[in-house]
Amino acid sequence: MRAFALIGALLIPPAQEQAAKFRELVDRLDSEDIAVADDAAGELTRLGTAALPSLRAELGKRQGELRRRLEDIVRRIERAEKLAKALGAPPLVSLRAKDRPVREILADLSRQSGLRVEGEGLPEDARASLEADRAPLWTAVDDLCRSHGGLMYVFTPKRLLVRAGPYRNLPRKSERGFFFFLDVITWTKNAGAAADSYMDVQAALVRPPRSAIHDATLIIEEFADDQGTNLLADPGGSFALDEPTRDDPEALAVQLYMYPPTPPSEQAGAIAKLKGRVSMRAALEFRALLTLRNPLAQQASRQLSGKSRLEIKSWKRTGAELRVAVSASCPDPKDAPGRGLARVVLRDSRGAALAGRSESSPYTGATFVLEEEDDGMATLDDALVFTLAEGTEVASLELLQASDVETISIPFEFRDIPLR
Amino acid sequence: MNLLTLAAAGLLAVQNPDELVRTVDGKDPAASFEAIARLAALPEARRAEIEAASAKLEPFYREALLAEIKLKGELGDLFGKESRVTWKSGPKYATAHAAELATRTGLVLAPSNEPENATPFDVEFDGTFAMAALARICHEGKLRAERQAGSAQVALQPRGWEVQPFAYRNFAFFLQNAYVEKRVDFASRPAWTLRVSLSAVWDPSLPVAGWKPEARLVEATTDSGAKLEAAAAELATSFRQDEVDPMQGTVGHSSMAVALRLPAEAPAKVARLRLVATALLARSFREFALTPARPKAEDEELEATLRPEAEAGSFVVVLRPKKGTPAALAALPPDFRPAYKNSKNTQCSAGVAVKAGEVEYRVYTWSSSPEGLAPGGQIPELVSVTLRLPTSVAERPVRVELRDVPAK
Repeated sequence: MRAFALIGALLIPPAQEQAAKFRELVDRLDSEDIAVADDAAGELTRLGTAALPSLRAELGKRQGELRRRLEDIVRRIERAEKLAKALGAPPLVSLRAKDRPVREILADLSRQSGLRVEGEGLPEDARASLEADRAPLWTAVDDLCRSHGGLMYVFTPKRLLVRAGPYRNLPRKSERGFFFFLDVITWTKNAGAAADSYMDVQAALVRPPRSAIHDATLIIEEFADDQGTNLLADPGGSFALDEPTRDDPEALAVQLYMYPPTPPSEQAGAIAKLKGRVSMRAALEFRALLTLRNPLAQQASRQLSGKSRLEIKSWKRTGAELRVAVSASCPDPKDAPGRGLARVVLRDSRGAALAGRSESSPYTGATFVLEEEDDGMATLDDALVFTLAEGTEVASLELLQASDVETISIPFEFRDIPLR
Repeated sequence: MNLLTLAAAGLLAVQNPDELVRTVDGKDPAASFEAIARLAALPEARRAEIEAASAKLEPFYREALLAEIKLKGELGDLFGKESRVTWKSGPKYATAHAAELATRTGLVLAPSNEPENATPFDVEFDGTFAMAALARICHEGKLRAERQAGSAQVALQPRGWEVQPFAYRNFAFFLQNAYVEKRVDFASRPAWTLRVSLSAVWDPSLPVAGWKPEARLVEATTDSGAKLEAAAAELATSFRQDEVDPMQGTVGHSSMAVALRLPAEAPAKVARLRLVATALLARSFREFALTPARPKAEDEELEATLRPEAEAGSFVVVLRPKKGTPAALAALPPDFRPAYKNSKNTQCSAGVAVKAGEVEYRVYTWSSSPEGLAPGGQIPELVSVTLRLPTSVAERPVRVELRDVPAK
């Protein structure tokens, strides 16, 4: 124990030293030399959440330009904190398994991750080995399948499945807890029609559970075959490369796809380069536009504010099942950063969002997204069905709009994908 | 036994199997299969004679003949009666000839337009199978026929290929699609695959509940005589929806496909494509009438519940088996017939999801009427859904032979 304490003392700078460093950075932040001040601002920001109490204390003592700079740093750290929360963290798993039944391994991974990790059509006697030490779940499952060779994973919006089949070494990128992979590329030609050829790229993005990422866009910046054909050349001029995937905000995985406007050359032997990024929006903050409090006190209720409207047309409770016919709309301008992120949430008396299902779509979850309309409004007209636990009190129905949105990107570059 | 039946029986009795077998020479698939149908229709007493004569046939035709004789015995009434037509007409457009055929056979045609380059033509049928007549009318009129899902109607559509349709006895098959595809799946070496899909039309009296979606390849030969192999099954993708896309259809659909692996130097055409398509014949049907006001119906085997959806033209039907498993129930091809207020000529396709204790069908409806499902832009009002589900099915394999299918 004494030895550890000694090592700790050697490794961790004493508090005085940290305090001195902090004071020095604040002094440099006050410098009239902008480069010096910017450099100090960068260092202070990198200190992160741990520095917030000292920064806030400093704010109270300072005035003028230095105070403004300190406020800016506090804002940036707070925002980074919110972003980290919005992005969530991938489930980490640890396991040492040698020649164990695959079903047992998957059950273990499911228990550790809290996600549905299941076998699908696996032979009863399928066995595999895995060594994972605080590895993201997707990396562990990829390792499991690769080392076995006869297993492959399949993501669905709610589950991670492992099934029998050749391992597919998918081009992939893991970053910030996200897992992006190219799934399949298909090049199709109508037989008997010489000029009719097209390609499509299917990819998928796996997100950390509970991440507040609401849509994803596959943006391809370079796409060329080994004959020098630019697959992004758009002779028609009407090709949209960046249509976002509007999806279930609570889905574990979403599909992304794109159709390059130009097919590869007939002689192409490979895709020489496929470069781009997955662009996503993280909602850092939502504000309530309208709230119906104690919404089950009457059979129907409504609230209006400006162009926003939130209405319960009717509700019915049958045993534990509550069916609420909801109508909502709010402005959702085309160029607004929060476009497409308005939602309705039913909360209990503790403020927790209640999970339910939509009657008009296969969606189940706790946030019901309003659909974007062409007229710059977003609307929802649906019956939402909730199964309430005993003693649950429905306290409010809220119409929320994202008020702070950050765009993040996962860049990728894949080369030499064989076409033959 | 009336006079006509006696005459037909007498005609069959005098037909010489050897003479008929000589017609099965493979030069013209239509003539070869006409002879096979005649051979299979000969009385049981001539079976030994037929089998002896069949030894001279090439394997594909021999197997077809012997399979037909066996099926006739096994399927009984489900084998279906011969439906033949005899008539002659001066020049008319294909849709007019098809309308005449429909009057004579009970075939139900969806409203169809002539293709732009259509011209009138003569027809002459003399004891021709009704489905062979349909195939001939469609080919001459630059059309292809397709049985519509969620309806008993047969639609005639402009065809994109010159490939002759194929008809045998109660069935006609039309080339629906032919395309080559290279799939980069990051496991196997990408190679061109030819995917050919066919649409089937059948005599209206035959209780076809659906088709197996994949046809079995018997033989594919290029112009140079090289054989093409069936492509390996596609590897599963690593993303899929939990729900099944309604547009993918269920086993009840009337089309089937085959995939062929192409060599590096792809041939221009598959000179001869021989397949076995499998119809699922319903031994009997159970029927449920569901409406939004009375959304539940049941019998001793299962319970059906209708759930209209907010999305225009879609609804959900949930089946809960009281006996047996949901998976076994999902293997039976359902036939949904929705009726919408002020809409006609509706068609639909259903995606199926097997869940704990139930099978859920998500059905999407549209209309081939010019005004669509919702005339005047009104939200279509679902009036009723009739669900016909086979109690059990018998498989009815049908040999199919196509010539000169484009391969690149």
